[in-house]
Amino acid sequence: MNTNGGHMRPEEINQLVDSGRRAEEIIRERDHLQSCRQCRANLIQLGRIDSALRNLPLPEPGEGFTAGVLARIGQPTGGIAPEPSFAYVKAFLYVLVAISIAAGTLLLGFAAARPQVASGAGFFLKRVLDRAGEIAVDGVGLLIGPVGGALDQRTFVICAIGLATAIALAILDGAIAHRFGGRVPSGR
Amino acid sequence: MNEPDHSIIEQIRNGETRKYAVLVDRYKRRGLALALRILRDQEEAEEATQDAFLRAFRGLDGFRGESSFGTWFYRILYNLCISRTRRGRPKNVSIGSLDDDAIEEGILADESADLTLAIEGQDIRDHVLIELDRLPDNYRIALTLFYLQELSYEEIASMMKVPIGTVKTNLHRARSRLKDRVIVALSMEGLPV
Repeated sequence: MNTNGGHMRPEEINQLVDSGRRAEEIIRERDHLQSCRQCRANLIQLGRIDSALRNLPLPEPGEGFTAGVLARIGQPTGGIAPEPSFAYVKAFLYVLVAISIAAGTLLLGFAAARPQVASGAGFFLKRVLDRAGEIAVDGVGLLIGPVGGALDQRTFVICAIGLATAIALAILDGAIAHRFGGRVPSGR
Repeated sequence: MNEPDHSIIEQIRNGETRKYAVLVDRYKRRGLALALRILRDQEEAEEATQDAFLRAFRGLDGFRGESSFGTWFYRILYNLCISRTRRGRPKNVSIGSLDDDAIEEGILADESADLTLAIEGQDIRDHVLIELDRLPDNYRIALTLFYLQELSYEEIASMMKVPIGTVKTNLHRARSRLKDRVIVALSMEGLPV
């Protein structure tokens, strides 16, 4: 036996623990362990730590973990949506609408603030910008004034287009959700 | 009787990809345990485990079966977690654990102390869980791979890219340090040691 000030070296005791045998059994076979209280205690303690480590509770992943993995590999499982290619279509539509709204707002604001610039661009463009300016003014009136008084035909058309677009997107979103039975889970 | 991994893998290769759920269910908890021990963050650990399952699925055609699916999967997960830690993610420090000074001043510093443990299962397990998180990375990960993933010395050495002797040394030192810390923790709670 290798000694460590008369005691077994920690590596030796660890090797005995690694053998997977019961401490009592090991102690019976080793004279030193029978006579040395410290080494015996060390073996028993390490054995208990070993046993605790073997019986540690395993963590539980969040609900939908497995479904999340399958969704990511493109495999639908009962009510779980894969990453559909529609997501790209939807994202494209949202971007298109956002760009249109931004461009429209810019155009309307520009035409309302600088109507004289439009005159140099020709009669048709002037007409368009003038009308756009009127619409913008009406739009502001709609926002700040009584709704009924400011709601003329042009404003109504603009609002209707905006509303129709929003409804179309909502229907598309709903159709995708219905087709695949829900949203893609995060895995948590 | 559980269907063996290789049989499930064969079915997946033949197009029954839904069967992958069986493998995910079989290894997700131990996988998550490994990721948690390395990353120390539940959300990030779950993400990493999902990523590892995804990578394993995509690489399934290249899986030759030289090791078990579990060992192969844990290797993917281990590498993924290690690469995440190298990106400088801050680590959460577990609460309720002991600092090294406490260990130094602990009863084990006194060789005359009575070392007979009078503690049982649950007490030890609770403290082992807490103190495990405070071990240095190489100790903590080696213990996790050995006890939770149930890998052999050779498999751990291969995964961690260190010699087998280093794995054994790390395991032994980790277990001894864990033992010392648990005993000190219990003594500080007034439990008999």
